[in-house]
Amino acid sequence: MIEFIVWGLFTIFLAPFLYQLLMEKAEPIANWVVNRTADRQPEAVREERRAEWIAHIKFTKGSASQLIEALGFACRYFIRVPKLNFALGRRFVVHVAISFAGSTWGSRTLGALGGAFAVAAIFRMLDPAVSTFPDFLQFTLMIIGTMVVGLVLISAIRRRFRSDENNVASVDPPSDDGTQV
Amino acid sequence: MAKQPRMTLQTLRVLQLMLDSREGLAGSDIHNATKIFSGTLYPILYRFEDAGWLKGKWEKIDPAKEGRPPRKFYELTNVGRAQAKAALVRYHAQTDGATAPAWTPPGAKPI
Repeated sequence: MIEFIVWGLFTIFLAPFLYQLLMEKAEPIANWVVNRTADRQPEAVREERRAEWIAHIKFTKGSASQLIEALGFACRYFIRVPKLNFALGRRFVVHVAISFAGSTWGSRTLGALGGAFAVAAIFRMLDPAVSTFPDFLQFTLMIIGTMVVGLVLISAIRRRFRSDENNVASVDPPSDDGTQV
Repeated sequence: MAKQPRMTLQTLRVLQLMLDSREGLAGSDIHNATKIFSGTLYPILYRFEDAGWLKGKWEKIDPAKEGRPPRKFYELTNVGRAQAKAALVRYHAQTDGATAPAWTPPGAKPI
């Protein structure tokens, strides 16, 4: 129940607000993405490409287009999409499957662990900085920790609401014919 | 001699636009005209530049005065113009003007 409330509030209030914010700040965000991407270019062409790409963003019409163009640079030159680690991709699919199976089965631990490893696998696929095993392990533990804290919070809020519902149960009992008195 | 660039429909569209244009075109101009996204467009431009088909030239402006960054304009070189014309002629001869999936010149690796 509480998840529905949180997601409902997010959809009604937070999502449009974030969208508006994103559209207003599209150019600085796009420039930031382009700068991060340019940082990974060979030193000989880095500054030239940075200037060229920033000019490209400046002359692109529309906030959404600016963001899409910046992501285009990032996909091609930052995370190098064609060079994704497909072995990790397969592992990612397995983790997501475990996560869904665990959640459906009712095992919160399996659901959380599967999801956490899947997120870690995505990051490791995309970001070469998280390429060594200790980094990967640390990263996974960090995500697990974040998810555990989130789950504890959700459980606490659930318990709080459940106890309220229990308190409501102290109304008059139904009469013999089943109607509420 | 520089490696021959791969030919795809996207690269042919860029070449066609460059041939039709009387002046240099910046990446954003090419994007606006062809709707090819940055992640595809710039690798094409850099490949052509490395092959000597295109020549990039920075515009000389004062960014503070103009309130915008300078742009790099690309122009076909003489070699590039001849090669682009030949590539487009070959493409039209092979496809008879119809849209084909991708086209590779002889000797180049298929996509």
